[in-house]
Amino acid sequence: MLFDLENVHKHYGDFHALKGITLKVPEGSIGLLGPNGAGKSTLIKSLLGLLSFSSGSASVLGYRLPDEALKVRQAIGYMPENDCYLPYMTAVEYVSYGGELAGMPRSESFRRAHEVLYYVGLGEARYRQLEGFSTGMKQRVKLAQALVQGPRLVFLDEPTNGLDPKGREEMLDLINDVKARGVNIVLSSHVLPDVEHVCDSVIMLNQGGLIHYGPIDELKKGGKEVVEIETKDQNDAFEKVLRQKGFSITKDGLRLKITVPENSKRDDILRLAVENDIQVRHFMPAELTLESAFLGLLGEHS
Amino acid sequence: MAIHEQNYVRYDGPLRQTGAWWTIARTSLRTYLSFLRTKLVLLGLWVIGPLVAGVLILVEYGARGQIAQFTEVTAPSGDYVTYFLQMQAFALAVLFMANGCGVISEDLRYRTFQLFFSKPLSRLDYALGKYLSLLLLGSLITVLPATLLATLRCAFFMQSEFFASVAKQMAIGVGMSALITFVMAAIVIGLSSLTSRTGYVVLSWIGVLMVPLILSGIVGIATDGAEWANLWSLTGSFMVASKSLLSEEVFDGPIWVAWAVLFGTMALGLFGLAQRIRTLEGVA
Repeated sequence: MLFDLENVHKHYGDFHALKGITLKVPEGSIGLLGPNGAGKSTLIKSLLGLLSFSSGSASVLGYRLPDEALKVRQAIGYMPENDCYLPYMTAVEYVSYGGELAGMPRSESFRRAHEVLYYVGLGEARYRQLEGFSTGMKQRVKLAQALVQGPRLVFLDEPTNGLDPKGREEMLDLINDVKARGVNIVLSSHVLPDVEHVCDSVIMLNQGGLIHYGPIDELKKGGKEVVEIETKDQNDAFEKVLRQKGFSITKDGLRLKITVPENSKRDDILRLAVENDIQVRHFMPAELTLESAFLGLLGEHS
Repeated sequence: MAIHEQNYVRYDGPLRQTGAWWTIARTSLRTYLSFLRTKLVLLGLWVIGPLVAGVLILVEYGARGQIAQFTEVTAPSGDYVTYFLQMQAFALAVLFMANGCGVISEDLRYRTFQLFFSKPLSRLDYALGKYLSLLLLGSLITVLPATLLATLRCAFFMQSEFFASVAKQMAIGVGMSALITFVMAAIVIGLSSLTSRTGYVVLSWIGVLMVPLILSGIVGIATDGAEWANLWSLTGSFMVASKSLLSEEVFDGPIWVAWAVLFGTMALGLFGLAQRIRTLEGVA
């Protein structure tokens, strides 16, 4: 079990950052999604044992929080979103330092730093100072320091941030390889295709509450039909009509992606268009992407 | 083609549960020593400073025609140790200006707290490691030379009747060397905890030393050189405290103030560090 959260709350003064989350997450690769301010960072920090929950009980990898926070951090690697290194350190010094801080013997940490830097594709640059690294190299060296002590679980916070398409593809390939080596992944990202590429299931948060947890495939199917539609300059008006009837809608350029509720049929959309004198220009079944499913869920919960 | 090394094997060896503070101290010290400016300052303070001081002393005694007294076997005065300690305080101040002021501020600036606290170490480990790194750096020009000198001086007087008093003086000297290192390292770490700009820390460190020193000078002039005017500055208080242990001269003011200044400033510095560490909740 990766996490076992039982009705956890987190308050910052009057602000309620996490609202009674109960969650049992088995081992695997998990995406952590949510708009800004949803509580993702608070959840990650809490799971790392850096913040204590205001109430509720939690365990990570079988270790109770907050009593066994240090054991949790020993078993976890964390790749933060922003830069966190001393620019005058070389890559191998930085990664080796991370390993030693995690409790590795000094000589072993130094040896593993070389290996893990080769693994992430920085073998040739390992003696260069970090201040001269490109964005892609910095992301990889952060991943290297998260992996050096051989964690059972890694938290990746926006690992593809600032990367060009090739760099992004390489990073995702690397993360998938880490996953294939038996390391559990928690990926927090705003780039939903990245989450879709790496993760098997997702945790969705909104305004501190849990709005969904489950496999991505299930979410995309959701047992619901999705239709892509375009009207003659009346998308907004039609959206309003459909929402009143309980349809959930996401905008996709000039088109609307409509999730048909269980108590309705696809034909109901056309019937409503006719009743409201709305001219339909495009109407076809669509596949729900993670993005549209996410936006649909957000819409339902806001 | 994948960028990664395909034969990589995940580490599955033992992980230590304690001792992260020592890793921080050792790595920080190694980082300081890797800078050219640190090497130059250490070289200057170890070689050039004592050399210049030695030449000046010889010139002055030569001019007074008193060089012969160096060869006389007389009871060694504790004043030499006091002067040596004053030089050490000055050297330590210079060393910390060149390096050490970024001990916490650079972690704030470069957000390396995220690295530290995502690893299994406590805030106490972090604080202890950082403080120890400054103590080790400072000791290179305080405790280490003091110990060396103490050993040489004791060896020199080993077979004389003054050995016991010399040994006592040197023990006090090494102790006071350690004390000034503890005090100055605490002040530097406290100042460094206040801001993410290392330049400001260096300026405030100079200010902490110089402003009271100037004030002490003014008070000294106004009181016709009263000894208690020294109590207005850190280095003056250190001198007074050293003299109280090493010299038989009677001080014309309250000795406890000198000790209070030393321990008070050390406590303030450590309080600054503690405050910074305390407010680090959820830095990552």
